[in-house]
Amino acid sequence: MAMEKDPLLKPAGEVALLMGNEAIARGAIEAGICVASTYPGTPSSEIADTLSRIAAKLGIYMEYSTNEKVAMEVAGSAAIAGLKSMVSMKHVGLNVAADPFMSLAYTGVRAGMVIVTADDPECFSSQNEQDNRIYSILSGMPMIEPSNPQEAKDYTVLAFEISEKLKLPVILRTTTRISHCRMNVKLGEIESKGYEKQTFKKSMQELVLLPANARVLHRRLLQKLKEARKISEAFPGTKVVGEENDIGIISSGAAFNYAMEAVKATSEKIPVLKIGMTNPLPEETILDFLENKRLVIVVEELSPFLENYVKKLIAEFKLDVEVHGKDVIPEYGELNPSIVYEALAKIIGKPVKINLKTIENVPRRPPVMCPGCPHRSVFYIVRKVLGDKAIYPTDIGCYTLGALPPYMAGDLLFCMGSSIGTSSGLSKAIKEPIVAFIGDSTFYHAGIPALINSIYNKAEFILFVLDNRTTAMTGHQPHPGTGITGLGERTSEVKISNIVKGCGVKYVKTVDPYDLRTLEETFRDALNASGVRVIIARRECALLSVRRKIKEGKQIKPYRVDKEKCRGCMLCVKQFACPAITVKDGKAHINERLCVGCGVCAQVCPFNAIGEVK
Amino acid sequence: MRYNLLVCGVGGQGILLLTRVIGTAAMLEGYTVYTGEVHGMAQRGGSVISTVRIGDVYGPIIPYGETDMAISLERIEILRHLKYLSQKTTVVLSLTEIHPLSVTLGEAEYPSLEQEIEHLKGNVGEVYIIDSYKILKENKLPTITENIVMLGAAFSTGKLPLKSESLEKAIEENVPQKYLEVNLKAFQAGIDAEKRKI
Repeated sequence: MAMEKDPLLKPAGEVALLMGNEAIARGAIEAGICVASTYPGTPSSEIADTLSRIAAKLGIYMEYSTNEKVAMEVAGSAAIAGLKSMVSMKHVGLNVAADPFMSLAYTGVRAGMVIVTADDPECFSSQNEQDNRIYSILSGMPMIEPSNPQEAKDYTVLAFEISEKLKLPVILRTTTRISHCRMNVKLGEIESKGYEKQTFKKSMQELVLLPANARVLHRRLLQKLKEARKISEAFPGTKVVGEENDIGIISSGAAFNYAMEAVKATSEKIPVLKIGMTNPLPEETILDFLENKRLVIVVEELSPFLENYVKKLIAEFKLDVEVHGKDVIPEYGELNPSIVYEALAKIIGKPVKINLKTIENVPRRPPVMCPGCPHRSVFYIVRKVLGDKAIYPTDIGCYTLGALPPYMAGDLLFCMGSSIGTSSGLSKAIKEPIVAFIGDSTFYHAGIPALINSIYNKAEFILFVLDNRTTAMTGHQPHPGTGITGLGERTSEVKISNIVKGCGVKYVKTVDPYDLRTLEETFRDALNASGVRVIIARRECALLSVRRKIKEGKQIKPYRVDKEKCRGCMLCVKQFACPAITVKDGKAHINERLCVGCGVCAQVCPFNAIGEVK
Repeated sequence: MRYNLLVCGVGGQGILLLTRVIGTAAMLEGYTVYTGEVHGMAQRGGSVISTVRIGDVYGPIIPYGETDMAISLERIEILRHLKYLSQKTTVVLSLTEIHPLSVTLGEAEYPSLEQEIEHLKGNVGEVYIIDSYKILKENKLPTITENIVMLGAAFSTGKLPLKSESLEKAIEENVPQKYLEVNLKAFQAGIDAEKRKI
């Protein structure tokens, strides 16, 4: 047998260096998953991307759904039909999916279902740092939290077991440091071996949430949670680490690692209660730990989720234990070993030894649009024509970076799809012209109902659909406009221009953003028209086209500035601002290592000083 | 055994691959290893930091001051992470400069090498400076192998607790077959490269 090169498919007993997200995918196929769905979002994306890579080989079904709500419905219905399923998303994705999510707790499932939410403390790639642990309380679904990739895999398998036992979906909650951490992971047996279509078992009382049914199902859910509490007490990932003392730490998830590092740094013996299943919390286990404790520190990221429960128990059972948590540990941002050490050291009276050296004047390096990025042309032209005169509602994707200097074309952003809804509202509320931006994948995700709304309610704005033919920001996943499915099969392309026309938009133009002249003419023309005007700027993501050129053995021909012709006006540097263009001896200079030869800067230059390297 | 390694640079320089290669090598030698990466928006030409922690450690984040080795693929990126470094840190520094937009626009100044050394002095241990771009040119290596040149340079300091065979095997496991030869050549070029030690 040929050696399996894909680490995800290595046989049981072997060890692979897996990212937390890959480990979750492995856990799912070890649990025998049949159906997986997702909408990509950092830090969750690689779970589904991994399953997409191996799905066809294992005979499982995997799809990139148009948004998280649909993904939840796809996986949820499959689990109701009797097939093990998993849906994965980032924390804010669960907001989009919240409606079917809440209902799934009532209907329950007939085969195991795991809902992965990947939270992002510190907002590395998100619009907020909401704590999705609270969703477990809101919905009444059990929740499990791994601390590292090995646990991410093992707990995924356990989550499926619990879900099957309770006939209830189980939440697997990770954070960036679990999802994007790699570790040597010991592998188990792969159980996914294809599946057969089931026969749907009807049960209107359970599956149609009419008020009369829902009332009954709520009571059933509460009953299941009682059962879940017993499972939580016995959860194998919940344990005390370290030797007994009259002070102790309670922790879970990524914070457990920081607690362990902090304890080590104090050279003291401090036991840590690690809670692996965090809804329902294991009351008996926590009470056992609190017994003989004088002082307890709850170490957790974001909200005082565990802390409030511990305090409730202490009040209820009239225990004499001093509790610290959010009084010494920030309720915002990401924790780390040093922050936790400092908090611990203060409480137990150890020196806070940390000597922080920082330098103020290192120039900042925020993320930028890549060289050759087709979005740049649109922001350059819009800025050139309207400057600060218009208001620019924007959306979630690489093009959010258009809000930064020098383009400054981003004035309002809530969430996926909000550019169009807010433009609808603003057009009734403000005097200034409105130019909105939305990406292709984001348009499919949440743009369409808002676009219909804007036509119906007679809004006035220009909408750029920045169609770079992929879901770029999250790692180039396919979407309905690409004609490719999550299984890598060809499918019919759902064309944005057709949707836009179908929504009732009369003014629809498609342009190539590399053609600056046509882009500018089209934009000026749209400014003279009225109603909702949609310009689709369509050009493949530069990262993808460069990658393809390299694969096809084609040469990337960089551009060069003719020093004689360049007058140092700096238009290309200051307004177009491609990262490949720098300044050398007072003149523009193209860094050939970065230039991908898109040639747009040559159209920007008023003196014809930029041309292809011959 | 407890070893903390920090890799920094600019998105697109191959930091994630370098991190994975070192992580794989540590795994091949039987150590427990954690690597830490940040994906998504942070990758688009912005500052990128990743970590490899080997042995008796919990999680991917290095406690402040506990870095044993720091590899900076871009000249000034290391200056953002001084809180993780201390006099026990060996720094392997590339002379490759990638100017952020603020510098190109003339709104900020790119620190000179002298200024940088001034900042590093007393705050870190030995500093090895490598002109990695020059090495690429001299050896006719593609730009994308700069990360592996830096790995060779880091290995040649003798401060990385991993064997060259494991690193080579790890390169083999993590790069496509058709780029293997050029990456192994880059690794050797990094080992042989001239380093200025401070």
